[in-house]
Amino acid sequence: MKVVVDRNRCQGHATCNLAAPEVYILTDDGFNEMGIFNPSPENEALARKGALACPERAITIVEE
Amino acid sequence: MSYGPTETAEVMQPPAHVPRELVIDFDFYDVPDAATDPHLGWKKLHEGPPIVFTPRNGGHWILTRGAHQFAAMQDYSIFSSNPFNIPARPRGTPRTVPLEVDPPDLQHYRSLAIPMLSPKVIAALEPHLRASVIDHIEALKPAGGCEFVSEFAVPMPVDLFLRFVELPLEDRGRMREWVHTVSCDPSPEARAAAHAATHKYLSDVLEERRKNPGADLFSRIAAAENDGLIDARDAASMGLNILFGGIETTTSLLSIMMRFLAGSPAHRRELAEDPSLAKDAVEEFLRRFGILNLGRTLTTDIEFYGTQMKKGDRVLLPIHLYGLDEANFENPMTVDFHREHFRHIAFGTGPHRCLGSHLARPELRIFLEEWIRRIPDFSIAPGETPVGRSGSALAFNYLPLVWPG
Repeated sequence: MKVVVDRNRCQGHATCNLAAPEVYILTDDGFNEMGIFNPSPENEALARKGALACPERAITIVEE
Repeated sequence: MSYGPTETAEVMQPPAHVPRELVIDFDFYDVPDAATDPHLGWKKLHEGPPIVFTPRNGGHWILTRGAHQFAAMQDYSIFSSNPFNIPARPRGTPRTVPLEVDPPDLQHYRSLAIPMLSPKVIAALEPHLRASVIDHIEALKPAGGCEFVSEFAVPMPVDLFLRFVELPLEDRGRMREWVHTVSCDPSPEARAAAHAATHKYLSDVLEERRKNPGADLFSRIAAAENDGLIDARDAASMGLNILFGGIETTTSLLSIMMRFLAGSPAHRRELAEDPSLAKDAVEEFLRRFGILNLGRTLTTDIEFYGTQMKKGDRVLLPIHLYGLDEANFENPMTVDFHREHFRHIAFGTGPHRCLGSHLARPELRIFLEEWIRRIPDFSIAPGETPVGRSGSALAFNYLPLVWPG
């Protein structure tokens, strides 16, 4: 699984981190600037949960 | 941020470009059944066309569907936030900052507040938040009842705000009075006077902070003013935006949450049996009981989802309807703490995302945790009727509660 965070769409809701703190790390100001990454297999469900929590739809899950 | 009902008896003629079949008579300050349930009359709009026009309040569109609201809020160059209020604030009055500032200037103002309201900073304040919430609940509990709006929903956020911006708690009496008046008073003169008094108070605070800066948010704004980054008018306006944006919204949601819980023993029991549910309960309350009606102004002619709109048209975004849209949530009128997701736009979407969202969530969660722990059973006082309202924000103005001693 690949996670793609669109940093330009991120408005700092931090709901990704609220839903999945193990997967989505925030900057000090509360923005997600993780870019593209592959979560560990045990974190895949959490990655999806965090992506689903983003009001900006800034996080895309690519199943591969 | 609050704006009262219009006294305009005249109803304008819809402009020529508005199709007759999209015109409805809808005064968003006086929505049917709002006194009983502020969301009911709004939800009925989902039985009609997605985009409608009302000749009330100067005439404006209403985007009733979540997808359209989302699109409009993302497309800020077409849907400008200036002016915001419907009806528009009188010409010559200062713009609300940063509410009425569009990108790219918007970021300039938001950057003053963002570092101080980050999740990390708020997390460090959490013990103080909890202590303050507990104090308020413990003070009320022995009475066995209260009028929740004036005795809790206004005072608690006011006190939190005063602590957060390092203002004297002795000012709480005046500030509670101003906030309660601006939110709930039926008289437009009273509301205007309270608003002006708050403005004067904050201008004096900024003046003081310019001379004696501290580490708080208003000192940061005052420092920016000293450095010529923001002018005096905008600085005072920003103070007002932060105050009302931070307090009145919390007050409104607290009142609606508690009106609901007073009538639902099942939900109260869920929270009492599993206090860890409070986090998701807050999200579900934000989703089900969104409170805001936002204004926009078109900067250009546009065909928006098949509807012709013209430059200058006012557009109302009732973003609480996003959470009540069947396209977004199954059984949206049901409160369910166990939904798969609660992806709402109660804090907005796009560049105006609520700056206070990281403070609001813990504030509401801690409130639920500590209230239910101490007062798990409560109901509407016998013989009494809660009174709700619609307007720029939905809320209950009057909520008399009782609980076992």
